[in-house]
Amino acid sequence: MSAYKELFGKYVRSVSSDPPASVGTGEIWYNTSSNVFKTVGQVFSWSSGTNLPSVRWNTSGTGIQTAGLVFGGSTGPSAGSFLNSVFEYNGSSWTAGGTNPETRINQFGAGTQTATIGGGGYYEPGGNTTAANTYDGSSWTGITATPYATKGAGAAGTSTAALIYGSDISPSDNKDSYSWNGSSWSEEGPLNNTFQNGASGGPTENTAFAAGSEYPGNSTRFETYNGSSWATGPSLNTSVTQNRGFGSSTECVSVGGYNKITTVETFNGSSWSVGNSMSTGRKQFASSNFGASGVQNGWVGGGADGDDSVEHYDGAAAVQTISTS
Amino acid sequence: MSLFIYGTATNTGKGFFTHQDRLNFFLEGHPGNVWVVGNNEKGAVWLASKGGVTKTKEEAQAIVDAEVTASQEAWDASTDSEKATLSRPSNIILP
Repeated sequence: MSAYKELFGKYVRSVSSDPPASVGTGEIWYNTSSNVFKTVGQVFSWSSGTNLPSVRWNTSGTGIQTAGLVFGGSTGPSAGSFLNSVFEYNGSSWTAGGTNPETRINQFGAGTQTATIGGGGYYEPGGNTTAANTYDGSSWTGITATPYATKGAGAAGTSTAALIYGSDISPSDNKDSYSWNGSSWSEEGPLNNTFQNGASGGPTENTAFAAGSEYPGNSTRFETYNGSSWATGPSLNTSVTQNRGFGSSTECVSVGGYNKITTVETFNGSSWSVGNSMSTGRKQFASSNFGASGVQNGWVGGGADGDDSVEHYDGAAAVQTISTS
Repeated sequence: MSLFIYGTATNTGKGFFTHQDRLNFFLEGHPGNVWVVGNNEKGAVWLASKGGVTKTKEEAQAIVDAEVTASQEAWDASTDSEKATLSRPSNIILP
């Protein structure tokens, strides 16, 4: 094994107090006060974002923290409180966007702020729908109806190339997945396990993931899509439903869930580990799901039986103790 | 010494708590603007700086209970189809 000096040209220094994270980046040092080796790593955690313009239960979100979108949902449990309003987020403020043609809760959503696809969901009276729309940053355009009615379906990709999967309506449909090429829907390989109202996302249909939430409830399942078939991956540590997620099939998070838990798990491409928890417990909430830059710039907001709060998810340099585990 | 400080503070949005705050102390928000804060110097300073009003654990729990009860009553008054879509709010026990 090579010595640290041979690799880096200097010895591991001993210090009684840690240097600032900004100074210690790339170094290892020995802290003589705590008798441990330390370094600087990227630590992901949460900070408060700008509150949504109103409480939003069972709402949908797309985009990233600096270019996000929230649409649909409700302000409470009654059908009279269902929303068709849309708001765009720039990381600091929410501004009204083009009104969604659908007044529904639990729509699927994927894409960027200027290339979102959304659809399905539950409305009163009537039930669930196959209606779907795309958003270009200013207005919604109706597109070909989805092949099956959905509520709480997973989604990945953008308005011109997307994948939708699962649903919590019918056992005959909740393993389905269909791709959208900008003009029509095509059947894709089915999920291995049922999926509904859980963590989903991915910047492309070929990097989609589904975490937690089998029909009709909690699960530790994790599946990834490669463009033709779904593969079962490592399980979550905690069985969960009504959770949300963002990132891609190789780097993603599962956040929150029933019954308004703050739990966060992170996937690094090979395994799940427990991350820093949210500050507010959430279920059936809006989140970014695009994740072109992994999980950086993630956001969550609102949620069933919840408030209008928003949280940002970012990594930042922080001093960490080196352990052998 | 108690592990947590309990208080009420209005979440004003961006900047209310920072990434560094979350690394410095435990922080958990609950209905009724109730916050459970890690009982260390940085946590106490944070709550004070946000205009927080310190509560006993029992007082904080009572605020949360009242909010949850109101949510449960709203859910109980909803239609069967609405109930099938939205799960009934459950009780919250503060840590």
